[in-house]
Amino acid sequence: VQGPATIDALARVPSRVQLFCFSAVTWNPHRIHYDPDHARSEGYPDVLVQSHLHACFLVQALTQTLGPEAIIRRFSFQNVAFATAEEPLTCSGALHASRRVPDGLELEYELTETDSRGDMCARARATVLMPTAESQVSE
Amino acid sequence: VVDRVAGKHLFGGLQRRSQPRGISCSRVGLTRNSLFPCVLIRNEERTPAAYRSIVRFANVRRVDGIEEHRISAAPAPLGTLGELCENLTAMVGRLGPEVRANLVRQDFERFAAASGDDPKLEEENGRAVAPLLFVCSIQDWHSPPLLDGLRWDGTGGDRTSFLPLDGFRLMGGGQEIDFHAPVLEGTELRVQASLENAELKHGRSGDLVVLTVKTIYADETGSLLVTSIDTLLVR
Repeated sequence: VQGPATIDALARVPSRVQLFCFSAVTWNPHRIHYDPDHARSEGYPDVLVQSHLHACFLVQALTQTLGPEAIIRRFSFQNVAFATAEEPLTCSGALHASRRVPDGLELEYELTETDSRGDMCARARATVLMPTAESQVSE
Repeated sequence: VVDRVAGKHLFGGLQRRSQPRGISCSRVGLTRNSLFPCVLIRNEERTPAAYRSIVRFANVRRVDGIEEHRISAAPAPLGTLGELCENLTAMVGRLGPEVRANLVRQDFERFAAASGDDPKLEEENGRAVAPLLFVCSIQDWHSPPLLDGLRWDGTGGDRTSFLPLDGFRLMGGGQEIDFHAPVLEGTELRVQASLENAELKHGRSGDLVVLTVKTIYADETGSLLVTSIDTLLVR
């Protein structure tokens, strides 16, 4: 028994408005995310997508495929390259390992997020518990 | 025109040999119309690397085909990256401030919406469950929030305000997050960061200090909810 072998591709295009709202709601005042002049002064072509927003997209890809019953126990991500506002991003992934545990099936997925040129912006690894019917009944 | 204090920062940096890369010292001088020091870069020298490097010290104003880099409110870094790494290594184990925050449903919904997710939340015993990455995405939990304490570029939340990073550029590099229990509305969250490690590395785009900061999120009884280990890149 194992979980889905692949994570369905998820497309996201983070708009300037979204970057602003994400900075606001996470209380992230770093100018690099909303001040284009400042971003350029640091050598970037435009405002940057937040590190954690990349991570949110990767988690959304995972839960889109695995469904709400999946319990994410561990999630690690690395920002590999920057992405700017309005850049189309695509998240996808594949099953790396699976094993039975007392409360269900533990799955390990590897995920990547790439930009429109196919270059990787972020990668992640997630450990997910899929409760089995037996473990749910026994609870 | 460059102000005196900023000029001092610039020349202090040059004396410590931490001047912007790709810009020769001979390019540093006085402008025709200014008694104060500034840096001149010819167009052909305006490479991305040189540009990224000089912005630690300056903003840009175009003057007759020459880029005049004018000192802005950006403070000069307090020493070189090597010195910073030594200072931070001596601080390993240092705790940041313990901060408390009351978690409310509307903040969860706003986070979900802003991250492009479905703002309809899961519930547990009638209490909304926070989106998975909610707590470890928030940069500062102070209540009331602090604006005056932020650095000129807007950085300086709970996770780094206790570290001597003024004048350096800070970027998130990733996180390793363990989820111990669901984070529910109505929780009085307790957040505590600590410096775990600092290491000088030589990256493709130049030297950087890689910081590891651990943050613990617990509820009002002290039960662990989330643990996060952040990688922060300092240039």
